[in-house]
Amino acid sequence: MALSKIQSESVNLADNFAFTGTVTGAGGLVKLATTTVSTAVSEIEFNNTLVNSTYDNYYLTYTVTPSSDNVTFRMRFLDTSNSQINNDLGYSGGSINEGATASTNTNGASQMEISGSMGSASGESASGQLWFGPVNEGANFPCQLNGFHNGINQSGNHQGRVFFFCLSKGYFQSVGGIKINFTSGNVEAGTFTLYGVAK
Amino acid sequence: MKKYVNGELVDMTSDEISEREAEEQAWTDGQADRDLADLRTERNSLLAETDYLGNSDVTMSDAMTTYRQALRDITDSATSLDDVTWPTKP
Repeated sequence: MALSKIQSESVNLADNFAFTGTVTGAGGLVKLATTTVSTAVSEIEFNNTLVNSTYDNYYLTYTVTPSSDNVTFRMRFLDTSNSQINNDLGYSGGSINEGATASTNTNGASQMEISGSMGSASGESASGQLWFGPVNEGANFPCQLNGFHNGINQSGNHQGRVFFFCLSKGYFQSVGGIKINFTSGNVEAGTFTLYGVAK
Repeated sequence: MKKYVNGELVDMTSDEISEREAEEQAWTDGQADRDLADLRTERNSLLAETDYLGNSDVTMSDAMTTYRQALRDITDSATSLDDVTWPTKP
């Protein structure tokens, strides 16, 4: 550290400090990883290397475009061994879609459907942000995933969703990651950034 | 097939590819059922808008009765939200 940043009895708070290590002892968001999709892929994963007992709750931001048209954007948790949790009745919850009259809800589905009818044409895209956790509560409490998603289709029509899911009763378990993909086709482009929430 | 794991591009295993392909096929096979479910969800929402007219202290008009029956029968004429023509609400 440049000596100018250190005063005789204090740190110069008006100066800039570039941290390259991990700041411990303070609460807040800790950036864990960023995935920038430069090659179309089947799915995006953040596994138990990042989602583990270090933090109970996680924050994820994303931008995303599918390769195929009219597909459903979905997520699933990974178990602590990095296998996806895709039991037929594993997830409960739903979403409120401001682009339609109806909301969706289920007491048992094999996936967390974030948004349907996503397009792949030029100018179509979506972005969102969500929280998930607690991941370390095992059978005691359900791990949940809640957030916001906004998409624009080729005609300029907006679709905004609030979504709220959790593991279904009978399927509570500790979670070791998250898998993100479309029901069909690849993730063509996007950026996914995962943060841990330090207490 | 490839995937990103914690930001790194990796090849999927043969088991993962098989699982993924089976999922995609199952999703494709279930399209008609999902379309009908979406249609029914929207129909139920429209029915709920006029449910209060069924209260015992309200007299439902013949036009409203016909409208609500048409909503209930909507799956006789439509298979999805893409091909549905909703009845006109009185």
